[in-house]
Amino acid sequence: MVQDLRFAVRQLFKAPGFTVAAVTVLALGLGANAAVFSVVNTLFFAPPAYAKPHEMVQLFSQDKKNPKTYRGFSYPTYLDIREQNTVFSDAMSFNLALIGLGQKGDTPRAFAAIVSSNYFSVLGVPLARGRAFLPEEEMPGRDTPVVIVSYSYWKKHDLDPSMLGSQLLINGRPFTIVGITSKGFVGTMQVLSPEVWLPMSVYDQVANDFESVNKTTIDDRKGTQLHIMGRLKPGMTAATAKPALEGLAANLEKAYPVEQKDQTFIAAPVSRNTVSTNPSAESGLKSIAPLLLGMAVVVLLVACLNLANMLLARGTARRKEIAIRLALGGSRWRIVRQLLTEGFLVALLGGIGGLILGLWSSDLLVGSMRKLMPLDIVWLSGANPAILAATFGFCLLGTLMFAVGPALKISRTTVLTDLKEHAGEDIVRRRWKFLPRNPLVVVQIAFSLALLTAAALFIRGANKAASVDTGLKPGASYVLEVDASLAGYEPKRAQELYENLSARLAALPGVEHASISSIVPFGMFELSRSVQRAGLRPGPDAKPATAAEGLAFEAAWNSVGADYFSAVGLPVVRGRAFTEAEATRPGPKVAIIDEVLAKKLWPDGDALGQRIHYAGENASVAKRDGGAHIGGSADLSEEEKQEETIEIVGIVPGTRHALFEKEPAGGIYLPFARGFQSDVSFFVRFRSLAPGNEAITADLLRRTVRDVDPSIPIISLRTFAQHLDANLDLWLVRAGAALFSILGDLRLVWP
Amino acid sequence: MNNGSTPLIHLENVTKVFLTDEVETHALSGIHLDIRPGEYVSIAGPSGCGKSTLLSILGLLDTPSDGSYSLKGHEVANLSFPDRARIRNREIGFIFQSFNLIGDLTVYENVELPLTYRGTGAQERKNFVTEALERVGMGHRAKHLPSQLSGGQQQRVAVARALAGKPAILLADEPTGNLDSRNGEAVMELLKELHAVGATICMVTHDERFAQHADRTVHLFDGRVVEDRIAA
Repeated sequence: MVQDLRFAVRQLFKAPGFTVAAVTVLALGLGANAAVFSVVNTLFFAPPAYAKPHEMVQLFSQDKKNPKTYRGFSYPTYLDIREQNTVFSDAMSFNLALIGLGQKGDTPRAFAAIVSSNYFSVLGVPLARGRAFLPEEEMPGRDTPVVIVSYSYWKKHDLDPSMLGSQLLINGRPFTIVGITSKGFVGTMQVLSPEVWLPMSVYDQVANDFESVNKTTIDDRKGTQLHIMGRLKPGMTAATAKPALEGLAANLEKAYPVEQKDQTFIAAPVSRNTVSTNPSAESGLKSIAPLLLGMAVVVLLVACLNLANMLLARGTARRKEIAIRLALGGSRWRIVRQLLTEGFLVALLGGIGGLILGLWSSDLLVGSMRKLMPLDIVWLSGANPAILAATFGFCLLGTLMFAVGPALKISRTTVLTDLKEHAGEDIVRRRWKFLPRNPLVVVQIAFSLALLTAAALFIRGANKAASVDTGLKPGASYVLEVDASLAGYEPKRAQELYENLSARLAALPGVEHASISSIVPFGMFELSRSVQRAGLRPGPDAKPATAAEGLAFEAAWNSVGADYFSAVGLPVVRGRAFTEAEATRPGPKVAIIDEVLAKKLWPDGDALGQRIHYAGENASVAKRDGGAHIGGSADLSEEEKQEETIEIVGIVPGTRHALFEKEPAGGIYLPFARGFQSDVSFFVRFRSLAPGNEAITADLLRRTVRDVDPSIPIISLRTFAQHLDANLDLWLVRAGAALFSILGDLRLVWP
Repeated sequence: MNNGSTPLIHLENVTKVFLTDEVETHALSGIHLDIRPGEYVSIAGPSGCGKSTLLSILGLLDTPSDGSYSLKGHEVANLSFPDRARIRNREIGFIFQSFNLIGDLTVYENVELPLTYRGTGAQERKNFVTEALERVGMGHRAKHLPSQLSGGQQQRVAVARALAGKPAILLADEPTGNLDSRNGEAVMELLKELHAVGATICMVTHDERFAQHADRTVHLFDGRVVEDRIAA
């Protein structure tokens, strides 16, 4: 074997061109596999960042009458469960919130986990520095401004040794850093990590729009803010815990018949990649793993077919050598072993290159995603034993795929012919003349074409998305996103602030229109709401087929300022826009809908002047489709009761709400004062923007915000074109196009 | 050197027919041949008479279409490919016209190769290779690559490779064909020396001058033995 290796090394040096080409092809193929494996392994197979994960379960609150419906827990319910359950050695609760982190001004938005004081002890995770939260820091009403930061956050600050005990601004308010999590700890999810952990006592001060589905205070038993996870007692499983949990739920329902009505508890394994009140939330994500792995295997196959062809071509040149070996008594197996050793050496070199390429590209991918996501993506770059072992396995697999066939073929050489001094073309008579001369080339081309077709589809998708007619004509507009709640503003004060800011922006030189909007089309977030004709509330068993029978329609929801439609270039085709008074002060319940929704609700009539209301939870809703975004049902202010009806005062053209929407789904706009959100964007439309003046204009807008209040964090500031460019859907198709183009070109680059 | 013992090689009525799409070529027809241990036999004849085909069958590189071939008393005509490879490795040493050294292996490694395939231990291999190289006067070139040697030197290495495993018979196919006359003579002298110390040699040549170096010359014509003459 040593001789085989020695000879193999010599062969590689003898033909550096072949070696470089072969190693490059394999590095690309193996690199794709290493990258995909590192992603799939991290998401689906690597052990979670907490101790004894098999003992951990998440508790779900299920509606007994509507088993598909789940909800979260209130803090008092959590306390009851923690005290009264017989299945957990301990249970903790938490929820996620979006916060503004760091200095005033351009404040980055980050995810925080607001947790019970036993969060880290239940997970069995020690801190790298400092301490966990104290029980008194959990108590509602205490409002203790302490924070534990992630290792990743600490690393971003160069592992500053004085960080512990220092102050960190969260939503403009100083919090004392009391702990730093250990390296690699990402909470209960595998990759998406909170940047900071906050005690439950600050929940009401920190939680904002993102988790405001039920705007109750943390000590309110009607709340559904929290997720509960517990560590099962030894010997207990989710299944064996079921009767005890059902009994506990029944007891709580008896004690709190209103708050706990129809609720039962079930335990299920902790989701690796989501935090949800629904135990089946991850099932969709799991289907990605085989897809990714399948794609990687196809890529490896193409690379291997490519290399197999190169080896066959090289084998022709080595036929005499093989014939000599056979003539001297080398068995066919011995020859095959020699060739496989050479192949494995190439595969190992390709594997090393692939590993470097794979880790680099996955870092690049994660880095690129980080720019779009409001979460800290904790990605432990670098090779770990699992990735090393997998890459070694891929090398073996690759060797089998690309080297065995050629080795068997080359070792079947015709000794007598090849021993002649000028052994040349393969003169073996071809029995199946109708078959292609080299089936490997055919298969290789087929796979390459498949990959290139996928690339073409992605590119077409990207181009289509990039050139899609959004329906908006925002002209030379900037989108300025701010969130006053991150600076500690209450809704009432925030509304006043936004009014002031809107006026100042509108008064800037060159500004044509400026308007507030709670949702920016094609952004990270989307809210939707189901609406139906006013006065129609079919019973729970009714199956309305038309709007006239009470069929509800889900529509994209937005709350906007008086000048919004002018700012985004959307003409009011019938009726009127909102007045300044409607937009800034709660007044008559009015809405503007788009033509799509109008047509759905009144297919044969005129929607203008009609009234609508929000559909109930059990209403029959016509389906719509959408793109990738973080969405949810719009949670409206208390005044927007379901019973109250809204008058349609204007109709605007339909617009897209997601880039890959097949057709506009319909939209409803409310005056901002009736749909207050703390996280808002201002559309600032200039008459014109001189090229090269973008930075100056952006600085002008930034200064305007600071003039109003320097503590207001600017979450993002970019032109509308830049905003579209940063769309997550577009990123996905562009990344896919780039990936498939590179992989498909493997065959073309190294024919 | 015919010692009258049991033939090392015994061919009986061996024929070889090559089939192509349209033509059936009889390369060998009814060959009877015995080669005894220690004999130096040359097989001579004009081009296309079947010399190389006969040598290929003797060397188990090819199988006869018909007839019987026994080597050291064992029938080998219809052995499987691996069995033929094993016997070829242990019992037969090849010397080719074009030397057929592997260019990427050193002189030492080329000579060592058949021993490696045989599974000979490292120390024994070293002894055999050193001995063989010394015997052909190439010990000082052990670390050279074939490309660094002259044609005559390369053929000497090929002879060393054939000798190293102490085979039952050396088969030489036009061993001087690619050499100038001086080097050709030198190789012939080397074979003569080997024969003198007991090696059994069967050499194919079309050159009557070199055929005369052997004790016995078998003349082929049109695939048949037309003369089997022992030198005076």
